[in-house]
Amino acid sequence: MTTTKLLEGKKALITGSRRGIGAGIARLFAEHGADVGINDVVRDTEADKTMASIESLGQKTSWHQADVGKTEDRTRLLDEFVASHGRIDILVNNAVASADIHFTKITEEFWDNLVGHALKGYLFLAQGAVNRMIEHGHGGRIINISSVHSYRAWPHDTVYGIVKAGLNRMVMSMAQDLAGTGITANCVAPGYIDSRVLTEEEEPERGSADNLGSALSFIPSGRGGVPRDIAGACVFLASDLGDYVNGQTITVDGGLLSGGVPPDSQPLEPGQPGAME
Amino acid sequence: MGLLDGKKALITGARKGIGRGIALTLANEGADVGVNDIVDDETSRRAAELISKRGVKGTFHAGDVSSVAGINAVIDSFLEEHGQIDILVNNAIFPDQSRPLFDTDEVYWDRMMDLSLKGYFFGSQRAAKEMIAQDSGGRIVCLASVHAYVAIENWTAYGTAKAALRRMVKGLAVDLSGHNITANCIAPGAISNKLPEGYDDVIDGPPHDSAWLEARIPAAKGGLPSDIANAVLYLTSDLGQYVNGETILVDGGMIASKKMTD
Repeated sequence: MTTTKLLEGKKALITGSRRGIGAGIARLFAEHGADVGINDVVRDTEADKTMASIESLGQKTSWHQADVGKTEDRTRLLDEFVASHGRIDILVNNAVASADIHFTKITEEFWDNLVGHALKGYLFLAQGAVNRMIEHGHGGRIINISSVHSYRAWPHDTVYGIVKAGLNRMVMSMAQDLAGTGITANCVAPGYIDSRVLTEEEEPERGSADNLGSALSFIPSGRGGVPRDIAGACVFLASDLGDYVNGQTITVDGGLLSGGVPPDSQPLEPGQPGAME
Repeated sequence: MGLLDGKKALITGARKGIGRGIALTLANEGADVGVNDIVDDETSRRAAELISKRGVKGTFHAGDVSSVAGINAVIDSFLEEHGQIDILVNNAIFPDQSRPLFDTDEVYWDRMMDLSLKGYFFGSQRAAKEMIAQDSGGRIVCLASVHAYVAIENWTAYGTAKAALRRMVKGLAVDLSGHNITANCIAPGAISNKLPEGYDDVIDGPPHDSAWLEARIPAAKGGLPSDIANAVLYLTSDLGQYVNGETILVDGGMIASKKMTD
């Protein structure tokens, strides 16, 4: 833990933050002095743990159950957060759920669901947050969690990759259109992140090379990423340190994309859900 | 307690401007900092003095970092004072950065490539050797530029060198795998030479044309050396430990904007 607090007094809403990367961002934000709203589609023991850890850091936290793929949920989410914290300074769009699917098996339903959540959902939640930030008049920060899949194709990642590439492009336009508001919009693109649910005893193993298998040979930093790595980039962008970074996507992948080696994941076997027939 | 307590950082070309901004920002966060510059004068020594005033060790290492011999001499001098090197920031550049295509002769081209590509490469190579020998890991940061992404009239030689740095750090990331060393670039946009209070401004050259900036940059202001320094701080602190082979643009959205090349 650092004593240099970079987000003192900030009010941050992080979507999909009951566990995994979202929870990691929430915790590091709280360590840096921010009050944090936790959102997810369900509340479970993981959500409770995340909120308890924020409270133990002396920061305020609030729970907001909402599906960011639904228009009415998005509005309610922002209204609830502002009612609880007084304003919104930072929005991190992180919520996503996807599955591998071969190009030939993509259905309209699959497309509508993923695009509706992770592209349309992010855009309109950002728009709602921006409108509230402008009204408040003190600028703000929008951060979308993108992916290395926005730059390079892995097997069966077509829709996910398109959605993530769309987010990188979205922040460029936001930087342009939000000129003069004091609001910046950026993406963080994680590489391989070990976001498993682990017990406290197992926690030191997170990101260790032992769990990487074949992926290790493609990661120059020699370990898997951990939620805290992605959180570090979000703190940078959300704090004064990142004041002049705008419309940009920061890759946090331990050098994964630097190498020219082929992607590590294997195509689905015939018969697996989503596999080509 | 700061974000870089106990780290030993060498910044090339740090007598003034962005380099001095980086040096003092890292010092503010607890790093001992060596200032390098080719110009050895009162201003150079003042930069080291301002570092020492922050309660950390500040040293000055005069030298031309455009040759292998020159770089080695500077790093030797740094190691003599600090014992080890944890952070190298390759920042040195001469003032005459842009030149029309047909005025770009072999002498100018070689000077540009020697300082801002060869110098950065061999500085990184030497620093990485030391970091591996120390078994301490380390951070290498190169100053690239928006000119690495887009062409603006008369900046071909500079832009070529800066674009090469983006590829260079990917190679360093891959080749230094297993040594806990990261290599990244920061790509500044239009940055004013105005340093924050306490950094002792050394302004030479005209300030940016604010109308030009407002027409092109969504943030509607020029960046400050402290904006660049803050990005270097991010990459060299624990916050940025998994960023590797990456170039972070710090340009207020300039590159994202279609108006850039108008």
